[in-house]
Amino acid sequence: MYRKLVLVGVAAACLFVAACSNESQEGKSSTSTAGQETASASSSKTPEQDFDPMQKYDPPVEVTTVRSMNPSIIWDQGESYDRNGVYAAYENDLGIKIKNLWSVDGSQYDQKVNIAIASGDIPDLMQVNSVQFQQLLDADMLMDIGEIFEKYATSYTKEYVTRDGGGQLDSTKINGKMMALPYTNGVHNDSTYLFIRNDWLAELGLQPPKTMQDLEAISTAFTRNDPDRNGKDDTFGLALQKDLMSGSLGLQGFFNGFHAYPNIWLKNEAGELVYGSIQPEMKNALAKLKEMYANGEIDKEFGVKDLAKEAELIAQDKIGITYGLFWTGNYPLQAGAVKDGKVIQDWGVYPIVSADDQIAKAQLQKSTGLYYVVSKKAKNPEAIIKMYNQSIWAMDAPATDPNAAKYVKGKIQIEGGADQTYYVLNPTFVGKQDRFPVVGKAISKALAEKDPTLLPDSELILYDFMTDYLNGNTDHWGYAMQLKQGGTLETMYQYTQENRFVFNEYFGALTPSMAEKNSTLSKKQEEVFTRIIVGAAPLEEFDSFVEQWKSLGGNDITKEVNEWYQTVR
Amino acid sequence: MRKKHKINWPFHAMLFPGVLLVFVYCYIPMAGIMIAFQKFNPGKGVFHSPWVGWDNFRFVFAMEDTLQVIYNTVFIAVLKIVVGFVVPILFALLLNEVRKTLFKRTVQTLVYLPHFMSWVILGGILVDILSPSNGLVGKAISFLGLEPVFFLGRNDWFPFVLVLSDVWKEFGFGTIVYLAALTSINPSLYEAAKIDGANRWKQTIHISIPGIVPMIVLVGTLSLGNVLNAGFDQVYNLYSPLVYERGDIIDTLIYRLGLESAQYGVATALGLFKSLVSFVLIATSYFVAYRFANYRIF
Repeated sequence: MYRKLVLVGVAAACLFVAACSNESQEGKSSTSTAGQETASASSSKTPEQDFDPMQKYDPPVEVTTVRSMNPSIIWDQGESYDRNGVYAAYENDLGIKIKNLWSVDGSQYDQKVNIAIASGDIPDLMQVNSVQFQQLLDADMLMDIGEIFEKYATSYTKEYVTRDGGGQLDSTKINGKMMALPYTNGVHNDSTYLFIRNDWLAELGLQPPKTMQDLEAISTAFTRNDPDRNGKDDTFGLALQKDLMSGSLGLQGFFNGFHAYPNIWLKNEAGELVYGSIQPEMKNALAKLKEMYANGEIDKEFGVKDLAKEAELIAQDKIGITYGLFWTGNYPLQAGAVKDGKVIQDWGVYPIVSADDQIAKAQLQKSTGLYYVVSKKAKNPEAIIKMYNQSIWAMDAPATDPNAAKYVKGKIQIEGGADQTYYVLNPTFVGKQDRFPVVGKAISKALAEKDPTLLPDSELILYDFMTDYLNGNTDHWGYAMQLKQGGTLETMYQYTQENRFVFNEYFGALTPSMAEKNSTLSKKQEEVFTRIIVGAAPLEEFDSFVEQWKSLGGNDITKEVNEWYQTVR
Repeated sequence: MRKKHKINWPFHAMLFPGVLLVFVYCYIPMAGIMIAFQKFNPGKGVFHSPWVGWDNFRFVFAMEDTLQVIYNTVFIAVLKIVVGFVVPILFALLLNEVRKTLFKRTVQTLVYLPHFMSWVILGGILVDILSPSNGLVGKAISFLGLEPVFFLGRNDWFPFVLVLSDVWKEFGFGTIVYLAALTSINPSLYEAAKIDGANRWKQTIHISIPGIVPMIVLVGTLSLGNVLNAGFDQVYNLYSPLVYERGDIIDTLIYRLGLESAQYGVATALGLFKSLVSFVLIATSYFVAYRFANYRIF
């Protein structure tokens, strides 16, 4: 379930990047940013100059990889995953020929990688998930790239991949050896927000919530006081779906409000790691949920509904509060909020609220769970580091830089055509870790002063979306939920300023006990929590769940996690 | 002898592609059951993963859920086999009595249709239909003045929802097999019976049913092998944490172990256990059918 969530998140993040590469305006200021140094790839340097990590190979070398195909790419004529402008740019600028051993549809990628691992025939470079990463490590098929990363990664790359404080880079280090390149992405992307129907608040004369008590009062009022004025008792307070721990329409933000952090590892006072799902704060939150469910504030049938199904109720004006991620406005709220070009539901975005006088903090993962691994048999591993440098530089360069544009856009787009999402063709594409807080910090001022240059050059498309929306284009309502004053991105920036985050302190691979016990334990957890909420089990069952969790393997996992923690501390 | 072989060789040749397919896709992969005795790592492969003897099996049966899951599987599957066995026979006999060809064909096609829909789609539809608050069934129950039941969220109801929806989806397909058997009964038997004064009921008892007994035995024998097959697609699309207690079956457990937690060895061990039990059941039922119904498949 959790992986699915991450995928959705990544997909949404990709949408964003896709959008960003959609720029076609001319005459943008071409301020030079850091990273220009790496652009010197195409300019030849003489041997007596300093060591140039980006020196072009002559004759060219070959790097093999495998690709997951993105069907949304609009190709320049005659191009494909095997032959395209991006690959040509790598060959021209760096002398690196990229050869795809195979490329498959995204839905089959994991399976095909599993087969590649099983057959022992892996390419020089490929993207894998954490389970596959662990298997490759166990089978000793990966190269320790620590030294060559140190030598060939540009200072810009090193800075770029540690903007999160280093957690994502650290997750690639196994026993002190760097065994993969991190697939970096926005570290704050999983933080949660409250979405509340402002029109319902106004109808009932209520104020936005400052505390969990306020939120409960609003939820009760939304349930009882007919906020949609249709004369029927058909509304609920809080949206909930069967995947309880989901960020979107789930309870992650609710639990965080009680300082409970399910499914992640926390540091206790003794400096040891403990599992969030079995802490006493969870019980308080479950007690409250049980009460809300009994009061009819939660859809009685949430237990069998997935996100899309529960979202139907929101679209039918039946639910007024939901927890969500920064993109929950785009999906699923947009579908119900905008009808025939008109905004018919007025949603407000609020920071998550706390049940006591302590500030509520959102839980986050340090690692993205995705890695670029280099085969032990790779002949030119440093070429892969060069590609990594190049893709990072190109993605972050100003949109007007024609050298960088080759890596991000296809010919059609450079000449001013449709969005081509060519950036996904970079075999080492990575996302920016601090991207959204940076946007959130600047967006309001940029909009107020009508000055897009306050935003990073690569984010201008977001400015255009918002101005478009303000000019009446309701297609961008979902983006407006992110970009408006007090929207999710500004709130995300506010979170970063107030340090309202709790990180999963464990970012290693699956421990042996986790691999063995996780499926049993997570099933137990889902089952017990759901049953407590719907009243099929008494609240006290939480205590026996904690005992069971420990005896069914949780203690072993805790021990292994703490052993790991000693090695990274 | 030799002459007979000469006549038969084209048939054997035609059989060859099918045998080849079965060999490639059903027999060669059987080598993979080795994984059940290994701590399997895909990177090391079947030949280099460490052997662990019976450890995977011990792990499976030490798991808290396993016995409940096996019980659920057998419970759901046996109900499905019994109901799914009887309904098509009755329906075929009833449909056989219908005179209007157009009506008969239409009904036949309609009941056959759900067979072609996948559980992914039907799962979504069933959640809607069975919703106690605004589903068709929920509305009907409240119309009768009763309290609507949350069928998909209650452990006591869930197995029966599985059985009924599965029978609804598949009985049309079963019916066709019996209808085909019924049409192959020699019409002169019915004529003779009529002359002897047998009414339709007597004709059914003494001609129709005996006429399709071989088919009934065949279908019944084959279905016994499914005692541990409670239907992965269906359960996976309909179950939820609320009904894990009664709805979790061997196949969903294997799925979670093998594909979600990557414990290939353990999942294979459980799968192998399931296959062995099914094998014994099929062998027994075949033997029983041979002894008591004097029916041979081969």
